[in-house]
Amino acid sequence: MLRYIVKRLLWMIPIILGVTILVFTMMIFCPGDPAEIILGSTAMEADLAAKRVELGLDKPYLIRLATYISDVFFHFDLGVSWITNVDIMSTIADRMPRTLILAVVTLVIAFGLGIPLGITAATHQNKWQDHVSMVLALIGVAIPNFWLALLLIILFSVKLGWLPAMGVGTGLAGIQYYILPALANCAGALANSARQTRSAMLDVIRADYITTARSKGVAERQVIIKHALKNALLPIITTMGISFGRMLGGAMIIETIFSLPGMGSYIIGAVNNRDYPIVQGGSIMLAIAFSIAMLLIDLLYAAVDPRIKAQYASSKKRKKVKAVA
Amino acid sequence: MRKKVLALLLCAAMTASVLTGCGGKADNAGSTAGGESGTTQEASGTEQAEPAGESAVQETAQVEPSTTLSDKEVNIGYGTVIDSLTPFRANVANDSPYFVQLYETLGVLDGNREMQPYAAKSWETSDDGFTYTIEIWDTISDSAGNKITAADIVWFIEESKARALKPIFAKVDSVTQTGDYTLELKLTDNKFGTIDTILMDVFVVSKAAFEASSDEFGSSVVSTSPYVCTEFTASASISFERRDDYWQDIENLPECVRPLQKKVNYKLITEASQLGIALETGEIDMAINIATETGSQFVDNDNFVVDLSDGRSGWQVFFSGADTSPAANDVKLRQAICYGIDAQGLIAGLCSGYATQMWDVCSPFTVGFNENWKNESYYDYDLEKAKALLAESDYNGETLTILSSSSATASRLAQLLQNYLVAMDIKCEVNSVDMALYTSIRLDGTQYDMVINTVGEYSLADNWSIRFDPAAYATGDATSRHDYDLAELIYKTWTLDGFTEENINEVHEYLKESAIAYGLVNPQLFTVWSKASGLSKAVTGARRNYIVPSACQFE
Repeated sequence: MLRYIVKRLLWMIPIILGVTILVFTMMIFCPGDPAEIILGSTAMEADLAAKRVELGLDKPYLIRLATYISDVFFHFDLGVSWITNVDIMSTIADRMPRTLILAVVTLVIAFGLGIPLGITAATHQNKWQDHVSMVLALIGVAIPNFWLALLLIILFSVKLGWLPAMGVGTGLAGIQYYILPALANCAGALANSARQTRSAMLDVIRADYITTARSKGVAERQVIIKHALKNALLPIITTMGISFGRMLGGAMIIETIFSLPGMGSYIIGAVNNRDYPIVQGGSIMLAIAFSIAMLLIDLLYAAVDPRIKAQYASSKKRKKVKAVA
Repeated sequence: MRKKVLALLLCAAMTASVLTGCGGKADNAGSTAGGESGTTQEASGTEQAEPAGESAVQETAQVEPSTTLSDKEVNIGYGTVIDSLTPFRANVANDSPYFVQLYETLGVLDGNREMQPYAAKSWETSDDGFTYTIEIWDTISDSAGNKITAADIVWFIEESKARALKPIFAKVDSVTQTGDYTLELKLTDNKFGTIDTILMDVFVVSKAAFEASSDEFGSSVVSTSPYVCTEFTASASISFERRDDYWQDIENLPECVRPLQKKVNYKLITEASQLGIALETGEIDMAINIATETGSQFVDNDNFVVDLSDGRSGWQVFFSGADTSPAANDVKLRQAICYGIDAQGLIAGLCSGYATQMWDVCSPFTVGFNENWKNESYYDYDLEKAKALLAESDYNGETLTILSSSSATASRLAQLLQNYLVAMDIKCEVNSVDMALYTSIRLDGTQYDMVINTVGEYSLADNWSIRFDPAAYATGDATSRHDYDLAELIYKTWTLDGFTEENINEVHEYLKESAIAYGLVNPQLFTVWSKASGLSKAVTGARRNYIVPSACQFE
């Protein structure tokens, strides 16, 4: 298993290198002069020319690319923002935890509600419980998150005054600032998880081993949770992984509405300002985070399915097992 | 049956959402009758509305300046965020009101737009604005106890010049310490307003404290201002508390920087409707520079006071000066277009009535603006005259291109302009582009026939130099024009002695007659505060003359 993890971590190097080259190259082709954006409308031609030289924009593409790759991979330096002159790595270190918390809270709500909803639908197929669950899932997919966000703010912040409508807090009390953003953000993921769970459960629930378990007199609750759900978890975990990866990119609209300074608003702001170093640095960090998330998902597969775990076992161990057999 | 259940569920969901979403207006509607007259302004259709913000300022100006320090804590909402507190920064967010509390500057603009000494004790020029001798107070110390000398100021200016983040520091030729508390500043040009901008942009920072900081004051600063920053969450919030060890006597300070409040907390909220919600829920006491759509919801609300003031920049249309454009050398065509634009229609259509017309390319906020211009006619809307001028022009049915950025206001303004041109039988297309692309082509007059912009610098001299100086850019002026007659007039206004009413009027008349640029509309600025906050006098000042919460008087 350890060998597998190391192998996957090593695979991340060419992936991140590829992302770096791709993002760097794409930014070159974006219209807009960073010197003008930094200095503003009061800058004269001479100021602009000097700024372009200072930023290295007068150098050939390959030299700029090589310098950037060297800084990132050998010095772990993502540079500073052209607009604010602030170190990008430290800004990401500030913002990434907020995006992570938002993603985790969103997933907890989405899958915490979505999975039971899907199970209910599957175990009551074609009954009213099934229909209600699927209608709720349909509404979840159809509702735009910004609209839901505004409704939640009006209800829970303006009318009831229960939860803050914006900003971030510190410590454990700070979690309350994530509840409304997470609720607004989770509708789609909740619906997807409910539908995915229903579909996976329906595949499993008619299997012979479930019939066997029931015939042995195992309680229905145990049959569903211990036998059926465990075997239906793989596609659900996949959905969870993809949702998590997507949320790491930052829920830009949600972060903007709730004034939550996370990765999404950071990168979008940088794109609008043509702040190339932030876009590049942010993309690299997201590529790393996404790769790690995918690795964790693969490890989760192994945790719930012994067959996959066996595949990860080292050849030495496998030989040992064969010899014993 | 299944369909009925579905229909019922959908109806229930819709009803719930409608009930949840509605009702916010009820409080406002109920309070309309009692709205405070004089401080607010109602949408007025195509009628020119009275600038009610001015009466608000007049009303509060009767209260004497105070030096009484209160224990009040105020919460302010503002829409521009910062990621770092570093004093070395580009012009982005430069006008944010929290900078008054963050750093002391050499000079500060008071509410009458006059430069007042702050950390500087005095400054004087010896050769018509090229060389300045600046003396700073000999008692300045920061919140860590470091004494500030001229060496710190010299270091800051040199460092700013080296980092090249603000164009103004490129105008510094050299800076030399001449005594413990005096320095000599040599400038490369003596344009009117240059020294004022430098005085506002030099943050007073201890070199020793800055170098001791692990992140160049990125997350915490050692303060020289009357406040110290107690909390900063990048892009979310920033809080200040009054210093007990501040070096200056309060009565010696300009009114706009007096630290009357004990604590000032800024919540940085970029989403306009959230600023409104924060006001309604009481999370903030005041929202500064709130968007028109949101700010107008508080007009005539008994629980809030709305302050309207003249926009700082206004919106303008500049005609291309490149020979490829039919408008470049055809004054009749340009004048026809100006007469064909209904400024009152723009006020109603673009700003729901919360705007004023313009009387020049520059806003009345600009230093040097002559109030008498407001009594002159400025291309008053006259479609018949416009059509007559068009007939006399060389226009032959070419399609004119209007360039604008894709921001909501700019693109909407471009569409309104297009409609006015079509009404005059001028073929016209709008090219609304992303801001970054816009900035890269706006100086190239071959890319458009008209470009929509919002330009507002400190003084008329600044505005004219960046827009109409043919030597400013490689392609000519900011629209690729080479008008040396205009340049001669502009250059006369640049010097301290030349920035006179007579010279300024000459440029104004030339611009008006030649119609190479036209002031379209000037949206007003909304500042809204709750009556419960007890604000009795709103004090304005600093770079953009916004209300300065720390200097306001509360009951």
